Amino acid sequence: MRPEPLRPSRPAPLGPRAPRLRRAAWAGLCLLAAGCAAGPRTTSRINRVQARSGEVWARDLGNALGLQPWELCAELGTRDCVEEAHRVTLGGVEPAELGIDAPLPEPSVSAPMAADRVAISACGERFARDKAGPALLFGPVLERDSRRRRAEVSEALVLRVLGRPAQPAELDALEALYDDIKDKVDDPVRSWAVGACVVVTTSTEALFY
Amino acid sequence: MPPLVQLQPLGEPRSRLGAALVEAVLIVVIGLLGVLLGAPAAHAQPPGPETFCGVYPDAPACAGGAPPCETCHETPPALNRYGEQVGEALLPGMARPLSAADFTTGLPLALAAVEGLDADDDGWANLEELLAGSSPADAGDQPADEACVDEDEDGWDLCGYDLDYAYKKVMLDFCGRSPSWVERAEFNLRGGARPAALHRALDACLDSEHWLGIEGRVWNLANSKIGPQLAVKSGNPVGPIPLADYDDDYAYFVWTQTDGRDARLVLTGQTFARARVVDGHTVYEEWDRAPREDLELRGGDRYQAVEKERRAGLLTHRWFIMSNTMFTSIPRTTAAQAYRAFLGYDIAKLEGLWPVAGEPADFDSKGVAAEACAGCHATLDPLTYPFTRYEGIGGGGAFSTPYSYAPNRLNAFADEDGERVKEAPEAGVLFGQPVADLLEWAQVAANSEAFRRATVRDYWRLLLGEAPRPSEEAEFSALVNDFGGVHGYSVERMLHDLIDTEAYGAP
Repeated sequence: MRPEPLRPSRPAPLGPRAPRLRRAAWAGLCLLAAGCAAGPRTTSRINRVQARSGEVWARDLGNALGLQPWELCAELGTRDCVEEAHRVTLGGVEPAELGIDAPLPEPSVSAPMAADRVAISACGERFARDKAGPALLFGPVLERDSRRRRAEVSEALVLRVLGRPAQPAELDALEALYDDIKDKVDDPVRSWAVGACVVVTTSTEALFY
Repeated sequence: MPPLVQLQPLGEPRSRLGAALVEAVLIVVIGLLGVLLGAPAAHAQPPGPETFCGVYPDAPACAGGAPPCETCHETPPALNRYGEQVGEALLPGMARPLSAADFTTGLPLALAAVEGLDADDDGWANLEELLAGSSPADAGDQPADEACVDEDEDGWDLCGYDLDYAYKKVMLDFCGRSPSWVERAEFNLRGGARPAALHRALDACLDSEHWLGIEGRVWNLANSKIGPQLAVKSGNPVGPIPLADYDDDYAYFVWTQTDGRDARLVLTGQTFARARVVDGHTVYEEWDRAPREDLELRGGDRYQAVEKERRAGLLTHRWFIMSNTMFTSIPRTTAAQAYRAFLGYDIAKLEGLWPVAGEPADFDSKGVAAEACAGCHATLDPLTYPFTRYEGIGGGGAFSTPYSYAPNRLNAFADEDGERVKEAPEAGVLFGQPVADLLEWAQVAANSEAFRRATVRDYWRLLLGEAPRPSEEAEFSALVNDFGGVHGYSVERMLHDLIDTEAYGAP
């Protein structure tokens, strides 16, 4: 299978400890972007990139994380993030009541925040379920945390979310996230697992095609 | 720079119910280019495209006969950066608006004058871009490197059509999900059988809920054509003022676009369709009833009131008439919406102008014969007459059955619009061709190149996120031609060819 580069979208806020995690995630993402691009690169002649609609992105997210669409995220615990609360923001339409017949031509300023909220919620939900067992994705680090087991999780994340094997540099970048946060958070296993999941699920490759 | 064109917009369709005064909006002054083009002519569309292709017959943008509006415009009449350069070089010093003759005479010189300039500052001269098929106004669209070499080893074929990329895109576009790692691996294991596998994947996805389900992609493609408003919807769900049920329109639209049906039925069909969910899968079923039967079955706020022999696809659906014709005698909004939604011509943007000699006759005394209005109304009014026999919500002293075919309905508008309104003919003109009534109007429309182009363009934009680029005009035009030929007006057959284009499958 031919790998494609994993590109970052932007740093993702991860709750109260967001600033530190954000810096760490961003450092990792920088590695994933330029650092992975050793050697010559050919630029697309077509140069046409489209955003996945919120519906499609959420479906991919659900498939990758083993969650139903309605389990991914609910604002205030009641309003489905993708179908209701952030529907238009995430590229959906609402013709009958708002007159929005087609997706917004440009992403709104709140689109990255909406994507972050969905990803953080979904990744957190997957971690909680894995912890309660049986584990689907984070089992290796929940059993016993180690560099090798984190690499297993990273490989599974990239494979499930992006549909391709991870590149070595990408595994290194995700591991670097752990190195940066391990002494700064109360639960490094959870913080790394959810953080790595958010990094991959909100990467440019996951959001665009 | 003074504008070459000054335009006051015709109403946006979605403002239609908010004010119930669409008629007033519709007859608003159109603009100066409209004036200059107002002189009757056999084919007096804005002369820019024709002249452009006369100067650059070998430009890829002219492969379809006329370049896309986006060659010079952002959204007509607003000019893009290249259009602005041409405008500045066009007979400088001469008072605007220019006459059609001056415009046509001066344009070749203006085009030549800016050939060496670089409107988008991308390092390529305008002429180089035009001849290479890239946009001179978009720095992100540049001439392709003729000796494209894919130097990196990222796996994508960036110099041509990439089957793996196309497969992933088909899954996302039509099935609404990414292929799994296993699916991609299996696909790539097929080697030389991958093209066939790609089309099998498309066939499977064309039946997915993401594509054809209620509120799926095809359904939503009709949003701007139908203009739903929950506030006046009947059926389920129902709005506070139930006037018509647009679910009939959506279901009929999707029905015409799927399962190999002739897409022209959207304008010419004389039946209806409903959407029903069976075991989680949406099915569309054709139905037909006389108005009285439908009244008894579905009630006064939903029934379709046009007798079968007077039906013309969505154009005579209750919602379309209700939301566009409303209370007007000469329902220009209805005709303009039909022209825009199904033929791709937005008269408010000066598109598709075919002025008819002696028009506008202004039968309803709206002042549309004024010099500033006639430029567009010489096309719009004869386009509208075939719609005048279909009753809207009411209006005037009308006592015709709402939303029905009522040959004498204009008599009821004499008090409101003057006695001459009764003289307005049912016969009209579309694309310079006389039509006796709306049924003929729909036939001419459905068999036109404009319909094929608008339909293919709808799906092109849906799948590629933008209109065809100048460099893609040849591929696009081939689809347009084949849609009426080997595709037999089947959207699905057309889509099978669309996914084989380089525009679709090159990363």
